[in-house]
Amino acid sequence: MEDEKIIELFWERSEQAISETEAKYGGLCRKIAWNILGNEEDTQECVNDTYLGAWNSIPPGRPGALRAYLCRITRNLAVKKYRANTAAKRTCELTYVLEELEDCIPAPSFWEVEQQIEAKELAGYLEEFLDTLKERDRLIFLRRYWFAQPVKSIGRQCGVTEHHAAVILERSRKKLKCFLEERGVQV
Amino acid sequence: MKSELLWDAMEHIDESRIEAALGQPEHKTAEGKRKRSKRIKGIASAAAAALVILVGTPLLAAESSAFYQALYSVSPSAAQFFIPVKKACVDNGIRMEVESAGLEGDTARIYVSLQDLEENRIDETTDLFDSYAIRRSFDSFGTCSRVSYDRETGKVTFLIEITTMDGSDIKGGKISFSVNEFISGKTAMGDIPLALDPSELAQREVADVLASPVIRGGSYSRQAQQDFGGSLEEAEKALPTTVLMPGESLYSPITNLEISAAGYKDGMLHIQLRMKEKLTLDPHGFVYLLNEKGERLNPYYSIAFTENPESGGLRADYDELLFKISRENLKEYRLYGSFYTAERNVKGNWRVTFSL
Repeated sequence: MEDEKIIELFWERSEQAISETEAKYGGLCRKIAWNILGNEEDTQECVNDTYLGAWNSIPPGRPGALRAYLCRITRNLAVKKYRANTAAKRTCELTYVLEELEDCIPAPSFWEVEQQIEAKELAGYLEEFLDTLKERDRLIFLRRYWFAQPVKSIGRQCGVTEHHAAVILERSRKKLKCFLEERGVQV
Repeated sequence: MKSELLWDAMEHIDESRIEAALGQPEHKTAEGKRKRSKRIKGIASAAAAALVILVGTPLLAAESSAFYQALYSVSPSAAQFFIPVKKACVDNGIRMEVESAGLEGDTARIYVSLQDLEENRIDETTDLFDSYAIRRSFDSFGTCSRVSYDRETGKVTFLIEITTMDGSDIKGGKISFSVNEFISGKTAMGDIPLALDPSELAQREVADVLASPVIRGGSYSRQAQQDFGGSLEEAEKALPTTVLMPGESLYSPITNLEISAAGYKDGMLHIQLRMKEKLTLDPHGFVYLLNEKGERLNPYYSIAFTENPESGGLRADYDELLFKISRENLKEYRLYGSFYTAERNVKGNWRVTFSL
């Protein structure tokens, strides 16, 4: 079913909107949640909450791109769930993603950073940075740091080996660090 | 943690980038660069597709063993990869058949054909119109794409590819493939000049607006988002959703699509497209401005809406395209557009379940 039709069902408050969303994007949302949470129970709960989130936000929302809209909800919910979980459970893919990103910002301390720059402002720099990457490298970067996708899986889907994907990511992280330093992002 | 700040910042990345990442045809980007052990899948698919295109689908249709033998002659390894299935169903005079299936590693490939037994409702433009569903017992991604059309038999063939989400091997299992509708007779008018005079449009100030349009969505150019701090949400909040009162057709570039209003409102040039049978025949289009230097100006943003259903009559869908251009500059441009529609929509209940 076309996205427009699904959105129309949401607007009509038809429960079919949920089943159509599940049929078309359930797998994708599940994959994103799984990447971040790494366990079936939390993933399923997160995906169900995604449908609920869409139900509660459409209307009044009218997403131009339903797929990205749902992915964003899933990612938000999964991160919240991840943070709510105990440290003992933090062994999923996101743990490794965060470890990789830790060195990208040459900060004296996190709290100073928070005072100087907010996530939204940093996103502006990230947008600029992404424009400096080659298309393939940008895709790999986004798959890793937006979707928290495993490197092996990224390699397979982007036509490179796992090792090559890891090298590309490492180079991109170094570039990002330099990029932020050059712009005086004092972090 | 610093990393969490970066992770949170990623959240605000432009939606178009997320769409672009999602939009990558994974199965295509992955193919061609896999290791030798994976290559057989590509060879098998290519050989089967080539067979479908070059030898013709009658082989597939009439006798799966014939298909298998012919495939073997093209590529023995491909023949080992695909297994004849020959499961079919008929509804509304259309036969849907699962011709063959191949399974290797984390991917299954299945060829499905549609053939009209009564009329000529299937052609080379046949599109399943997102009405298909692939149900399987394992967690996976599925895609479906048209691979060939045989003029003599009137049979169109689609390739379904299913890949497991976690990269594990598919061990078999039941697959159910269903289709509820398709469209065909698709026509396209690409990059045609529109019979609307920009000088005349520049003089046209429109006062009448639609009181209560049912807004169904919209799109915002990168420029529009940048003008609002790079935020799609801010652009959505700030930009008005006032749309012109639809009127008589000013110009119809293609069946089921016409320009129903145009002119200046609040300093922006509005071009309003009206589409009939949007949900069944998929008429859609896009308008842009082009000057003699070849400089192209796309809409600053657009609003998709329908007229209030309470007003009665047949539903009409609208796309209102808003251009940020002064009246003076508009005179240097011409209007161009690309438009698409289908001739027919065929509904039915086609479903085939088979085992891999």
